[in-house]
Amino acid sequence: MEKTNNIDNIISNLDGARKLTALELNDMRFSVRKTVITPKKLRPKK
Amino acid sequence: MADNEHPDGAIFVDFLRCLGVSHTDSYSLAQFQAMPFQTLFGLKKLLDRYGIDAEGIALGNNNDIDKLPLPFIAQTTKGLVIVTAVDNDKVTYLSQSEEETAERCRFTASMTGNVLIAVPRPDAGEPDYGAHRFSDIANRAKSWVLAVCAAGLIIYLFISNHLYSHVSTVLLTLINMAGVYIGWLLVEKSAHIKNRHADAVCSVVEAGGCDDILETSAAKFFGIFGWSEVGLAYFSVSLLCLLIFPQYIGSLALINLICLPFSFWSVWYQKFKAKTWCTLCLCVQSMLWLLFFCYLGGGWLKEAFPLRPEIIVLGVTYLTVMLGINALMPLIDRQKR
Repeated sequence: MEKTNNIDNIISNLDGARKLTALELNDMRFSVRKTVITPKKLRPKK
Repeated sequence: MADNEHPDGAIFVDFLRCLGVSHTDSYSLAQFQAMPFQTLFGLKKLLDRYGIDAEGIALGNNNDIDKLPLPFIAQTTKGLVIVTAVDNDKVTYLSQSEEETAERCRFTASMTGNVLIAVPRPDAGEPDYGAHRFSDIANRAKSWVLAVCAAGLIIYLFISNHLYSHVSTVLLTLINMAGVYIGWLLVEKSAHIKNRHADAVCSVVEAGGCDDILETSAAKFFGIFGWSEVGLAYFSVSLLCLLIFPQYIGSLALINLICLPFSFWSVWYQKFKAKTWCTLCLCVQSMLWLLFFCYLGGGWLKEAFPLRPEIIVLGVTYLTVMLGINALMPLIDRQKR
């Protein structure tokens, strides 16, 4: 099937990648708040 | 996530937009809210109904993100985001419809390695898109028609009652209109309805000040009426009375004079009790004083005397509208709902 071919082709190009199971997908909940990946803050000088 | 917090579906609508799949925000958001599983599993099922093949992948190496078709959803330690661009130095992503960028190394370090990739089929699109689009346009047209009719009526009354003939009455009309807008923003804030304009104005004097003040007991008159409701009632009745019955302008001036001491109490409370400034509240106080100077400058205060029966009618009207808004508040207060 075309779907399997497209996505399977993508996965085959990724080293060590695997499909997530339904249970694993169901564990990933949506955020309510905005997600911001911020730079690491400098530690305050002692 | 607290019990009363639910994802609003922005991630689904944003994802469809980035994929270039035809959809309407209203229908798509409703479908998202109706998902039995509010997880990526539920999203995968929903995407399938839109003609989009999706698969969850656990990456062996987070640096492989440049081999994934864009956009994709990435799970990070801080939540799920939509990745829209990847280059050697930075990653661009969407969260709650806002675009952010992060250094690539910082982003990949925050990833859990789990992603959801999506490949739209040739016939991908929202089911019954045409009908939903028509509905959307019709609903937006209703808002526009309302706005145009209201503006038309205001202009007609402004001209037919010769309110343009004196600077003071022109200013009174404009200030009351601004007061209605600010009063509405305050009512929305009291009802915990998010409004970007309100947030932008509120941050002018002190960020978050409006929210702090509106949560105090002083925001309610004897715990029954919110001052925001009183403000909205005051400006809306004043505006309508000025437009429809300009001959009662003297009574409007007298009632404005009676309301002035409230501004001293409001400023005193913010400065000395709450120790927080509410920009919207300060705007309302400023408008009360601007109205006073317009009434004074136009010589309208004299028109209030001798007192006439219509001042009682006007007072009852203010009270009725205020009670009406107060009765509607539980219906619109998001937290109570």
